[in-house]
Amino acid sequence: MKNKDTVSYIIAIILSIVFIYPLYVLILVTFEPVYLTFGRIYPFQLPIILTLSNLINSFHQVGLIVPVIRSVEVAMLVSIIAVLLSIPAGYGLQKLTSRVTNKIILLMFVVNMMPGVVVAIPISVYFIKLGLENSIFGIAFAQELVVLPLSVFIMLGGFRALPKDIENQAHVDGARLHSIFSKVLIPLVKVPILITFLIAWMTSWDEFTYAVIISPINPTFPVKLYDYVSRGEPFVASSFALLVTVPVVVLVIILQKYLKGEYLSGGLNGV
Amino acid sequence: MKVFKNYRNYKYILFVLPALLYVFLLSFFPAASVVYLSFSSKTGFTLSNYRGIEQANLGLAIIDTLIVSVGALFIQLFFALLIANILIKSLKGNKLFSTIFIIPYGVSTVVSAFIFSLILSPIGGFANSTLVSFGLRPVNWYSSSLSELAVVMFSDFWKNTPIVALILYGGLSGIPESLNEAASVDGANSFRRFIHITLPNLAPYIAIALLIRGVSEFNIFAMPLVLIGYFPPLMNTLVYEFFSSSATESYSYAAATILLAIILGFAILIIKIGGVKKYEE
Amino acid sequence: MEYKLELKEITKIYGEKKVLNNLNLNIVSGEFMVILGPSGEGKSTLLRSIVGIENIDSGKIMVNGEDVTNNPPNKRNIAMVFQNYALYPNMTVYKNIAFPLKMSKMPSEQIKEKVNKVSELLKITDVLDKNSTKLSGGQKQRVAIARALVREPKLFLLDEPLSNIDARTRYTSRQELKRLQKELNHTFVYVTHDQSEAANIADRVAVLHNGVIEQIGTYEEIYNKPETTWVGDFIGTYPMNFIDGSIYDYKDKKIGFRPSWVDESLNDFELEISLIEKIENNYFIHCNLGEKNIVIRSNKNYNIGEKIKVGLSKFNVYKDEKLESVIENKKEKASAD
Repeated sequence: MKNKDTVSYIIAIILSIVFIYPLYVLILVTFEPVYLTFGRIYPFQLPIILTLSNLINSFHQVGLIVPVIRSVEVAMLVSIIAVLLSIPAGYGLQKLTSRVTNKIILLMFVVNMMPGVVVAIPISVYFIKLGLENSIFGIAFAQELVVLPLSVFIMLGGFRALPKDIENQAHVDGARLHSIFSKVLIPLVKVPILITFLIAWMTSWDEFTYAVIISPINPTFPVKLYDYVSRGEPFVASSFALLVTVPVVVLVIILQKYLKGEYLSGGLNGV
Repeated sequence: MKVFKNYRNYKYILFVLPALLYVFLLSFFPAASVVYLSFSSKTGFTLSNYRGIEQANLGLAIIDTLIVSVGALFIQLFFALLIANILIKSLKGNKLFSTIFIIPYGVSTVVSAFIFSLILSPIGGFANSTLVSFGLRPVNWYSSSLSELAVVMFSDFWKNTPIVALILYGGLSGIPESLNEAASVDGANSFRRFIHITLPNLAPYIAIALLIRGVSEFNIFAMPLVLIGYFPPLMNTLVYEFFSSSATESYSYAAATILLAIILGFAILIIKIGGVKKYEE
Repeated sequence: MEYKLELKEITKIYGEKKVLNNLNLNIVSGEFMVILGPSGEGKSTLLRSIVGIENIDSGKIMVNGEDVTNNPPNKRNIAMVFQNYALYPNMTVYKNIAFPLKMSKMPSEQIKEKVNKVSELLKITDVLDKNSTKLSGGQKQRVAIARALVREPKLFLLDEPLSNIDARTRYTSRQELKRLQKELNHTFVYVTHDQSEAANIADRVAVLHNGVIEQIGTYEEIYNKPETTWVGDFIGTYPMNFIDGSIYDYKDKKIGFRPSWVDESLNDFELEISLIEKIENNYFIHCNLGEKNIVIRSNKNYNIGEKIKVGLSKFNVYKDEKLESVIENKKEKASAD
């Protein structure tokens, strides 16, 4: 038993190093003077001299702040639409036989297998006609496509996990559909709603394909960051990447207890 | 086939319809117009777009995408299993480990790709710096197409293993302890317990993880774009390369149409075979 | 408050299976009706159809002569207690009980009054502010019953309400439920697979099998005069014994008798003893009659393997699995022939 634990510890520690090291590199690049990092063939790995000048320099480049705000706006929009669409969908799917439900879910995922670029290009053509190109609504509407299958799956799991007969009881107690939803069901699926929101938010925040094709002129944060990276301005890129990543990582760690596999695969239960 | 648990439940399909229509309208219409655009020019019907991409490495793009998708899925699955199995033991410091293991989920793909481009850069890269400080020879991570794909796969592993581990951990914690205890009483060693108890019980969760991740892996775009650019080509980077120059923009429709046909065939295959049955159990 | 519920030729189909098959049943005011049947025979489906959360495939549900078959649950004024109580986990006990009143848009003063009254009746006033998930099984059951009663429904359905409670509480709950029903003079329909429950609380028992009511009557009637061999087999701690009718000159018919109907002073047929169970002061003796296994009751102790001669003080005669005649006193019948 003792031996096995030691092996587990060793693996866990090695993996921890692998998982932390990239962030460490980002911090190093941001806070070390350039001549110790990009200026050398073999960059220095220890934080001997620290400076804020990289950070201050990149703050003069306001070009990245607007995209961050845009990304947040888009992500909010995407998550709200995801919640609004997936609550009724999850509820309805749970009423169908699991055979049909599984087919519909699979179909929604498989549609997403189409290369994003293939779908995004004609969507951008439509959106230009509708005046949605380079707008947060255009990006959000397109990204919703990526987000929706998993959102519906999570909400399906939420509804399947409800206590048996609770909805029937509400019927028997004389409640109509809107009070069944507002007074009984929605309060009971609060956690799945929160998770759907969170996952949709993270997915949109991360999404690149639709964003770059639909809104190249008013880019979101990932697109703008790519712009800086491809133009060969890694100092600006690293400072901003760090500043934007830290709050999101902290958020993920705080909300860790909601990011459970049970919720992500909740649709599996109660078949 | 029985559609409803209760035959008057047809009204419930109305609840599903908005989400379903959304997905279909925003994917089938665009897909159809891609096909249409690929055959049209200012003068009418044409095959010139298809002739234009004869030189392009469409076949290579598909093969490379398959290599990256399947490879990344396997690596993620393996390490996610490892992580989930470590976290399920109540080791001291597990809370810390699980916090560390979730960090990459909060780092967006473009940022991850950017960091790995810093680490794996042949000149001024942090990985080589580490190798040299241990007295080893530096490595050119971009020396061949295959190694470039490996760079993409490794970065993708770092970014996406956490979500797979989360799902598998969820599955593992659902397996009753009594099952494992009964098996060890019956004399099964830990390897046999893993094969005969853990894996079968975990199978539906593995299927879900593969479905969720597989769809995204197939769509991999930002990661290779930042790390390796347009070569070796992947499906999305190839189409995007055509699209981003106005001279070849119309070729992108032809390339997209061919990809669409292949994906469609692939999707039908998935639905017909295993896919559905696997998690209907 | 006269009330009459009639179920007319109700059929409910799941896939290929007819769970309810042209079922007829009448329930009258103030009676405690128990629907008894093995698990998976559609007892719950029947209740759900009555309350309106399942739609029936054909047939009619009539209340006081009015057809309510297509009415939604909220238009039927029927209360139901589900097997797992289905308390709203996001609400306190008070809010749970108040919920149906709130749905009928009753003013909150009146709601308060009614909730308090029903909580006193069920002795749950001290848990009103607790969250419903924090209650014991017995308390949950009381809250569920309170929530059903507070609406003053015309009909009160209970789906195995005691199955999730430990044995000792179950016994007292049973008595209390019976007392409550008589006090309030409500009409109860109670579903269970537990015969002792049915025997104890029912005014009438309806035995459900293969989607139809096989027999309806008091428990004693059903126990003593089961109308089919299936009912005889199903009812009783020991199933009714069925033997070939030729022993008493009923050719091509079956004779059915309870273990206690054996008269050891008679010498009509011979049994070989294979197993003996002692229950309190009685011996239940498993014997072989030819190929057949039967159980008889005796206050004498025999030895395994011993052969004894016995007869029957009374028995039922079945033809084609249906009750044909009840022979109360075999000796009288014999002399009359």
